[in-house]
Amino acid sequence: MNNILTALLLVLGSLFCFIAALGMLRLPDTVIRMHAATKAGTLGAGLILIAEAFFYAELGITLRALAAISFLLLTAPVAAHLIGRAAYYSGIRLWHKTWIDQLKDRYSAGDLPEDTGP
Amino acid sequence: MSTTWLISRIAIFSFTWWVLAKGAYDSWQVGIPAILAAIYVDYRLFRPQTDRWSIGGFIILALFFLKLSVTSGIDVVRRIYHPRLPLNPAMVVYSLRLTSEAARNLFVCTVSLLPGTLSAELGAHSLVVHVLDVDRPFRQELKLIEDRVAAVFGHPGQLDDNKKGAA
Repeated sequence: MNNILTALLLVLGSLFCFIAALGMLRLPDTVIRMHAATKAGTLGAGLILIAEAFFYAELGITLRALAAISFLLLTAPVAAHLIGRAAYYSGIRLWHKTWIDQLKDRYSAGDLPEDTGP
Repeated sequence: MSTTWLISRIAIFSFTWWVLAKGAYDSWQVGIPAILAAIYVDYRLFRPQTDRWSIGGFIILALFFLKLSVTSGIDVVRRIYHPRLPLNPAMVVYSLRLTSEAARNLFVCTVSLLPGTLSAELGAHSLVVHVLDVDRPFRQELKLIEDRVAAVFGHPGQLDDNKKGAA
């Protein structure tokens, strides 16, 4: 039973990681790719760690798996934010279908404009 | 630097080390310097703030965060795998109601893990957010997260309701 659960979690985790990697290739611009890398990647790695905890069923390993998951959850969004910010600052081209880029010209002005809504 | 602050840091970092080092006794000769370094970095980067943390609020946010990371992972995977690549991205400005810096930073990180949103730049009163699908009710979601983050810091001063949150 435990083995089946472990196998399922491992396959599912790998699938998420695979699709995150696929997203790197398929998605059109840096910022959109970051969505794939952080969200799908984190979930995939998390599932693999949970599978490990189930397989060994030991307190020490479970605690370490949980610690690793919390570190992932803490660091992935920070990294995503910083890369998104760097990409935006360096003026990368957004995908041509990106809805609005109302900040483009005003970005160097320092403060950001008020909320105008989509 | 208050005593409670120091004791809580020692407890948290020692526990983390104990978990990571599988409780091995001889690991402490590396562990203790590492813990001291972590406390120093923590002090320098996040000066003990006057903000009071609410444990209950933090647990609610953590569980919410966990749930979000699962749903957003599934959402993004679905979009990538879909043959037509259903994306409708936008770069939008969201007016912040949170006033303290710590609360804002926590909000920025949570937003980056929300389904379809990635925070790009934190301004004085607003956050530039990249959304994957403009048709999602992301403004309501952002507002909900802002409320949860404000609950972590406990006092009503964190939310300035005179400012417009969601359009």
